[in-house]
Amino acid sequence: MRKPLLAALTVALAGAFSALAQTAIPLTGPFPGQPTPPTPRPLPAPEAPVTVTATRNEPTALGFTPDKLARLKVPAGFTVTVMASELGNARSLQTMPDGGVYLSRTKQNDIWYLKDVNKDGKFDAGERRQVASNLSLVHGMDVKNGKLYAIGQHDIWVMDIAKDGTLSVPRVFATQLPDVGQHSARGVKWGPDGFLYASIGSTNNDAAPQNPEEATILRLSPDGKWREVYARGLRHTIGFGWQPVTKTLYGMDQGSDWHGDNIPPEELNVIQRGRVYGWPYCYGDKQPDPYANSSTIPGLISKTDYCNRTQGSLLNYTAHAAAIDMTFYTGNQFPAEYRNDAFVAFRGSWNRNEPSGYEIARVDFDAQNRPVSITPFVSGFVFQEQGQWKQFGRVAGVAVYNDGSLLFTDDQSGVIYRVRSTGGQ
Amino acid sequence: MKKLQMLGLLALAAALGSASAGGMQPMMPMAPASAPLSATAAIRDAAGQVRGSAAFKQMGMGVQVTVEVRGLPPGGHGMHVHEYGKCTPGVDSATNTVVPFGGAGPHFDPGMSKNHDDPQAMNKYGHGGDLPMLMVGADGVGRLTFTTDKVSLTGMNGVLNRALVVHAMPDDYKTDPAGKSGMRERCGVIVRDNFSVRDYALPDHLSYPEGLAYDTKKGVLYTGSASNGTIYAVNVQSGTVSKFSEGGSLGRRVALGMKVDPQGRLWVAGGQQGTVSVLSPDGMILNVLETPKSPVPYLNDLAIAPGGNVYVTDSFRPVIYRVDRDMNLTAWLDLGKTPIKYGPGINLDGIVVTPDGRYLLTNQLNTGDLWRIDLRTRAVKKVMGGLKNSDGLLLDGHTLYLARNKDQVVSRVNLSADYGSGTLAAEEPLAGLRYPTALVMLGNELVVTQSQLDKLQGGAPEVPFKLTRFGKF
Repeated sequence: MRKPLLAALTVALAGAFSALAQTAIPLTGPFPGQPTPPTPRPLPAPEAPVTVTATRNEPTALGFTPDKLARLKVPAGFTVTVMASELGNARSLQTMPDGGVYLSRTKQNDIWYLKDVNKDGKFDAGERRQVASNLSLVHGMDVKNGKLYAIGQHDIWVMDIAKDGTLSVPRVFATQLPDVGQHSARGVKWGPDGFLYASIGSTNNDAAPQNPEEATILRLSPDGKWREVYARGLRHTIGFGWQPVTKTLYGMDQGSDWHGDNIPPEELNVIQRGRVYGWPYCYGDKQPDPYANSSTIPGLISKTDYCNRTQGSLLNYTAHAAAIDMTFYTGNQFPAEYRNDAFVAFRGSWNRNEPSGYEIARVDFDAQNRPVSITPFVSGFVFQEQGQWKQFGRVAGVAVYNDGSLLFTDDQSGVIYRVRSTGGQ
Repeated sequence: MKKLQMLGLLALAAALGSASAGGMQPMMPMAPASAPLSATAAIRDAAGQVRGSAAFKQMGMGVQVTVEVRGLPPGGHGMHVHEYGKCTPGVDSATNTVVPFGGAGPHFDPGMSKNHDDPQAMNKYGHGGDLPMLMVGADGVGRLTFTTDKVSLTGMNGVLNRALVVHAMPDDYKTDPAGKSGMRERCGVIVRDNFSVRDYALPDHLSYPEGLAYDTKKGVLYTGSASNGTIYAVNVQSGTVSKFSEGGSLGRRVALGMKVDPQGRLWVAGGQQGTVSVLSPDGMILNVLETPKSPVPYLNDLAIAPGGNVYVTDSFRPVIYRVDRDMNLTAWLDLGKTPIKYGPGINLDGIVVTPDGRYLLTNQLNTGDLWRIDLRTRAVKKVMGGLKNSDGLLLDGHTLYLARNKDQVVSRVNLSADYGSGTLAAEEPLAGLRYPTALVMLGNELVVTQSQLDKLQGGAPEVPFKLTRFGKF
């Protein structure tokens, strides 16, 4: 039987970095894996039986109250405040240069516009407006040329942005996206190459996708009419983005449920055109997942052969931490070492003996702009009290505010948090 | 009882060193190949040592086989032609374990009989590869010469680049899958004599390359998967293969016939999706054109006319579509009003434009007819018949090459000056072809896909999938 993956918080994987270089407009790339294809088998490759021990552990949900702020831990020189609460299913954030903030509420199928007009550090009741509605399962957003793009159940919509933040009636920009199944959260971002990228999760936990656009990053033409599968085998990458210096595309992927406390880890991937990232059969650095059903592998090649032809992850993180959004820090407020690092919202586990996630983490990029570690940045939302696990925040969206502070959302109590740097002040 | 008698007869014949086998397979008459058809198999043991040989010589529609194998225990040894041209270890499905020479796959079964039978059975009742067993004498040598029409070196029953396997035990000529003949003891790949081709191996086990196009400026061949729509770019010099466009997005789940236009864009017929995709030279989708919604679209191939119009065949719906220079797709010709009558199966398939821009030539796979359509008047004329299973076409002046998928050959037809009539001049199995579907020309050479599309219906494909380059004939 396979030894469980060690529960180290981050595992840096060996890999030739030069091979990961990618141009802004990737042309035809080399085929991943060996040049010689594995031989299809007449029947699925036999595998020894394996037994998994899995835990459902949903920490008791507690509503947000201001006294709980004291539980949050941030590095020295940072402070956390609350800009708004009771906003409903607060998910993604799109910040604007003038301080306006668009907030998507997936369960309410709408978008709100928030602006701290009186500069009191809060989005007061009078500073919140619903600006779009009837957007089924709206989640990720991006802005280009004065238009807001948002992705939901079957469509990507586009809306014109007025000076006061008001949005025009949404128009369908792209449609016929795959069904969401159990993974409704999707991301959408304009790439440095002028194409629109959309992250599409799998409909299911760990079975082969029915629709070949599932578990992919799609790349859409600038008019939204047509698209290609840019990368596949990504179970549920929601947040993704281009490192501001290298323009390399990174995404955080959520691994399968029910495969135990440490399998599979969450993955930070460099997402390259035409590559296959392994889900549902492989995780991490091309590791065969012993609990994935091998009889559905396309062409009935063995799981090892399949995994050898996939692209491994760059960094791993604790299993089940559940990355939602990811954003690169491009502000000036935080110390210089944070610039061009990424922040990831880990919404938190429900399928692990000791809960993971429930935190904003930092992906530290070194002087060569390579990611070297994933470490907690804002934590403390989950804790043990009298032998019972409890949590008071499921973090989802994360974005850089126009003053260089960091905003993030809690979709459980509808909170928008703000992290400011106080160092040296 | 009958079986037993026949066994005895064969054993006797084997002892005399000559036998005849075969079940009078009904076959289409074939045109000659460009060179005499003969082949040899060096027969090896599991350690790779050559322990015998087999010679195959085409005799009419059948083959004369001469086998000599050494170092086997005395007695009868089942002998069969197996599906794949590989004498490597591979999986035996009965045990799902790797066995010696398992890479040769199951018995060659061109009639899709799914039945092991005796060497006299017709291929529709028994495996075409079921040969008479080899009788080995006390000296450990088995020799047998026989003729059979169950296999051939060309056509549907062609065994070039397949494997001859000698088993450990006698063949009972009835028990599936191999007549209780036991382990595979000897194996040899059947290689055509004095004939060379260059193969481009594709790196994916789901390639099923159906369409083929050539970008002369880039020196790149494009081919696409009928299974998942992924398109590959192959450097014709180095043979390096890149993934040009991942398949799977809306309208891009199947890639069939393809052509490169003068701007370097790749046009792709989308088969059962009813779409035509246009890809930029760097592989991004520029457009996906849709034909009217239907449960049975089958856009199979397309041709780009001088001036830029693109004509598209639909193998199920009796229409030829046209895409104009502004990328408007319209139904250009309603075939119901022409002599081209659609029936069950694949109808119009390959399509080319004559160099003068006057005519389309298009072939009907199920009837074997070749048609000429006047681009100005839309008048339809039958050029010739007798070309069943023709898939992709290549027109070189007044010479038409046809990829005959199920027949495992490339045919050459000489056309008259007005393209209005033609004669079948030659049929080439090359070094062995597996469901060839499309052709392109590289100067004095041609390249053909070995699509193995039949394996999408069952069975495992032989990897790697290949494009094969060969001289014009």
